[in-house]
Amino acid sequence: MEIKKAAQAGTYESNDVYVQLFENPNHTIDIQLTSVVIKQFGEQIHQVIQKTLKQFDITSCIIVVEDKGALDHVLAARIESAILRSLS
Amino acid sequence: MRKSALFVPGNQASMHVGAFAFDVDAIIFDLEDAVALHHKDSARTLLRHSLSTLTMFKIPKYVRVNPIDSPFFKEDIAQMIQAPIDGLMIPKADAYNLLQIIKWCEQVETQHSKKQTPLWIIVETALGVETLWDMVNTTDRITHVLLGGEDLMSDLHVKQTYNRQELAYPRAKVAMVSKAKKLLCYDTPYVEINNEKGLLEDAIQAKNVGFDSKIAIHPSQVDVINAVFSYTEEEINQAKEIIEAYNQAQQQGLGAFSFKGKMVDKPVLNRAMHIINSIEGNKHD
Repeated sequence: MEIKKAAQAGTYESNDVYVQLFENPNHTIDIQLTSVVIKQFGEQIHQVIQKTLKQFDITSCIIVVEDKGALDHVLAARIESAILRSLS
Repeated sequence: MRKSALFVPGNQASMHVGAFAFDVDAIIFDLEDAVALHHKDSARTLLRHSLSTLTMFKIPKYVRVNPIDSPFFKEDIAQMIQAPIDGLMIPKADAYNLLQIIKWCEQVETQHSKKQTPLWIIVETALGVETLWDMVNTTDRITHVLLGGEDLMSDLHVKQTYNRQELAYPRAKVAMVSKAKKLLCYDTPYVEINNEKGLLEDAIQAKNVGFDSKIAIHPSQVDVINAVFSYTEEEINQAKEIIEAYNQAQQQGLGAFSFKGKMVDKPVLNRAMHIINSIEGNKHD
């Protein structure tokens, strides 16, 4: 499934994350990540992003993730919300 | 001996874990007033993920859903009943809408093979106050009753008075009905977060008419509320002495007996037993 409509979810508060989804003209998944803990948890955050997109069968999108130290379940929830908003 | 229950905004990720650091009897995640309209969907999703992840914390978890006349109610119930919660908190409950609320809960529970979800009802309308007895006799799902003072004042078109005159009757009614049905009753939140003296006086008033505890809307309120609704060292020691005196009187074949110059009869003894049982009960929590 391809993301066609832009959508956002989350906040810029500490321990949260702001997620934006956009259509990707290249028809691939493009992850753009910034995080206050990228050195320590960058790989893990990437895995959560990929896993959550896969759960919703997303095969094409630009996902911009601005992480403020969110736990994994918070990140997954915000991505899910953005996807559901995009599909609504 | 009850501690406070703490409200936590449903969309505030940092508080979902942080709330469990406080010494409370329950955490109530709020999907209603604490969440802006355009965040209702994402708050629900975040909360579902949080509840499924934070199962290691044993403090009972409740979710305050949106009212039945809102467009969010059905989806709130549908998603939260599937999450590992100890119950739902229902705002603006009255004897008429409660039947519809239960019907919707039953439908979702059946669909997902879930057992009956306990309910914590909020009495915050004139109709809710006046039909409380009917409500608590409608279903055995209700375990807690919360008085919602702010919405009730709005419904009554009155303002907050210094000594909370406007809540005298609703408080008495909620406490009386709850005690009659052996339900836990919690007093309305005190909204002036920085007014510790006001909170203290308000909590004492609630305790004096029979409330088990009071809701906290900010972590800074927890200690004050817990202190008010805890028994003092003096009360505990006196209760122990009364029970000891009672046991001695029993051995001597006496019915009523005197303790420190006052006649002790069954109600006094029962209160002493209640204090000691409450403390013993808390030790096992």
